[in-house]
Amino acid sequence: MDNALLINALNWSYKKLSSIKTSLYILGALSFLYVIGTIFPQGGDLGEYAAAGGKFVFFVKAFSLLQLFTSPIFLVAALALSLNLFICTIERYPALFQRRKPAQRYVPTRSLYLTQGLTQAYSDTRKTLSEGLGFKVVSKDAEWISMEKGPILSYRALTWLYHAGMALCLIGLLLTYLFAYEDTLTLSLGQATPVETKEIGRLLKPFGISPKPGFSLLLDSFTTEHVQSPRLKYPKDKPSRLAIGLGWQGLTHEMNDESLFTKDWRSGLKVIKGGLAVKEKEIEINDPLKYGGYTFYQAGFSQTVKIRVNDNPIPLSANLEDELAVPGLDAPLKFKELKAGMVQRPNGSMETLTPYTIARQPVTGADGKKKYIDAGRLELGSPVIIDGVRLTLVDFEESTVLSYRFDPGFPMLWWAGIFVLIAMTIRFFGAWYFISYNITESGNIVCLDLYVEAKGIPADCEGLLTKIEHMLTRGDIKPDPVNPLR
Amino acid sequence: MPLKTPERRGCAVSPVSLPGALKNMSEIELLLSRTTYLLSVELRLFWLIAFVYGISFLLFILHILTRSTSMGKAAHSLMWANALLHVGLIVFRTFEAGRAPFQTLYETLSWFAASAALTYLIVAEKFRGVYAPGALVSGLSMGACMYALVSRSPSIEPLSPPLQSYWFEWHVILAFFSYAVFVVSASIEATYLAVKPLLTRSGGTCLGLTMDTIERFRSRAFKLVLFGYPLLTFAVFSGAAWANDAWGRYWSWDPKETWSLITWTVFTMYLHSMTMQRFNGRFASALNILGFVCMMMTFLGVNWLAKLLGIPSLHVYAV
Ligand code: HEM
Repeated sequence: MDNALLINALNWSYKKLSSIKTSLYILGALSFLYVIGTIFPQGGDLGEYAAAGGKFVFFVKAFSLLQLFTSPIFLVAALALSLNLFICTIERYPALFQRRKPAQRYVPTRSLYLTQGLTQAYSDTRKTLSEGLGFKVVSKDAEWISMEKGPILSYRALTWLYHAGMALCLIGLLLTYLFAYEDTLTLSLGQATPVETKEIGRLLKPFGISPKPGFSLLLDSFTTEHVQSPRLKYPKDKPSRLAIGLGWQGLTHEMNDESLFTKDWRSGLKVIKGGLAVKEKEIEINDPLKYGGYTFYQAGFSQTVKIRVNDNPIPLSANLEDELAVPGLDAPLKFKELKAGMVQRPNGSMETLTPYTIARQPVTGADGKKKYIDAGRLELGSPVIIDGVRLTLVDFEESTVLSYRFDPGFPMLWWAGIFVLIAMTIRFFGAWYFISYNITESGNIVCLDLYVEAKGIPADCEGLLTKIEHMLTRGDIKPDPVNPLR
Repeated sequence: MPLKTPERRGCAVSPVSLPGALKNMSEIELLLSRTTYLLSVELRLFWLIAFVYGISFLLFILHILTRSTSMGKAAHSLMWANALLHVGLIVFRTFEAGRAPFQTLYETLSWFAASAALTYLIVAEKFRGVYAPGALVSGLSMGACMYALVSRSPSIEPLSPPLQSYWFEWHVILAFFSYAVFVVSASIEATYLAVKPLLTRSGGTCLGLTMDTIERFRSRAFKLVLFGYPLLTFAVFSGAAWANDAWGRYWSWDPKETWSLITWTVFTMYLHSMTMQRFNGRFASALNILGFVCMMMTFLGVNWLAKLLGIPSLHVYAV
């Protein structure tokens, strides 16, 4: 009895999961979850959420709304869509090799009276459709003859192919979910740093298996490139903006030493294995290094400046995120990003920049908030006096920050995605026609009933019917179409 | 490969200091005044374009209210002239900036307005005599232009490192092409939803449509979604490929990414429902309009939602 119940339940589930209607509900549920995921800050902490005045602590906790996209509720919805897609794809596979069954009776899309006799009408229609328009017969019964026409494959095969492609994408996503891991790595110039994975994929984590990449990375060079470009001084208030548009007020641009935009930064990397450099590449954002299944990306860089205070032989060291207390100064200093490397001038010429940074001091603004104002520009080797204290930028250090990732799901997702796009594009941008015709004679009147279905953007049923009518009635004195809405 | 001693490139101390490098001041002044002049011309034209979209919008509304065909025709012709001028302005900006004109929100708003208007005008050639969908499109184009002019800076800045990728251009071009197509599809669907009940009740002709032509008119909305859907799919795909190159992760569930997925999912639902007899009527129409709303959320609404909730970014703890 229990077995029968289980079998019934499985049958019912299978039936539901093979229906396109179910896909509508599941996609709807997923959309709803996605929306929720954009409202609640993903990756956040429940304690912080509550402390910041979050109003839905109960729901956030119960449904893991701060980790929604790895929560059970989301995984169940994603699993349901995957099952739905797999079952639909498998279910519809045999239909690709079956001939399309003729309907019991088609409601004609258009009917034409022909002046030919019945036999001649049959022969002319077949000739027009097959030789004139390139249709191929797919089925025949006592009344209706059905024909199809399309670019390559049938549209059903293409629809099936891109659904199958999407199923493969889901497998790629699953591989990413189970095995992918990522971390960051900070490299200083000239130092070889072993790549060690602390984070491991979800599937390996419970078993404590930690992959050993077995190689090191050496930062061989670090380069930054800037471009000097004018800055627009644009008013913030709307009336002034309108006044500029009407020509009542002018615009201004300014360009000075600080009008530098960072255009690029590059890290020259070497992969060291067994004491030898086995690969080298200069990476930048959008151009990572790939080695041993790992990809290393240029994530950022960090800088430390060395400042000599008056004639003190030991310089103070400061990183850019922190304030530096300087003996003799009432307020601490904070330094802006150090600019070094190459600069492209507005006339296109390239120059090497004398490294410099801007020292800033904190002040309390009118709104009571702390902000920083520029106190002096420190160029490498050139002393500057700030509030009676002589400061010299004597040296600096730069290190590169890389993020790296191991993701065995990406190649599958990539190739399956390309496949989906190709199949979908052909399917949507091609024109497919299915036509069924039936010729009857009553008294002396020969009538051709045409039923047409079309798929694809350029497909034009009206245009096709007009063409057929024209071709069949070309020699007639006066073709006489029957009411098309019959 | 033998190891070389490391070198620190680009960090060399050079005798050329920055102020010394600005040798030829007149050259720089010339550059600044040229940049300022070109931008002033651009802004004046852009205000004019926004204004003319506004006029065509008013004429479209008058056409709907009075059923006057000549109002519709006038709005349509004005929009054609304006859209062509707008395309000219975008080409001008491209030369001015020396790069593709869709890096900032100011630029993408302008691009969005022009592409929606132009797509509508091209598609409208297929249903001459029906002008009502122009109201939504011209209204949106005007709104996008005004938003760009009033709230965004027109400044031309060099491409930041993450944007220096061929994926970026393909991603943006295809995303905005699909947006334009979805705007036009929604305008047709909305016209259909408004006119169909009137025709069912009283027959005859309403805003250039009759009972015989209205379904064929609606099929344009479906074909437009068929057209836009692969473009949107490619836009999402290329965005992921780009994120993978730039940040090392193809998907981060960032609100903008997630909204693009919502838009894509809603249009998938629309296409599915159009293949089912039970759902291909009003339900499908509602999904098409919902898809358009989601698309607007992806483009602008993510920021708007953050403002509405009174939070600087969605990634804070205030909901
Ligand atoms: C990620 C999930 C899915 C996506 C993105 C998707 C996408 C699409 C699209 C764009 C169409 C319209 C194309 C056309 O008119 O031929 C379509 C049609 C269709 N889909 Fe899906 N689909 C998904 C899942 C499913 C599932 C789970 C089923 C299971 C029943 C399904 C069954 C169908 C069927 C039967 C059609 C109609 C095909 C036709 O008219 O020949 N799809 N799908």
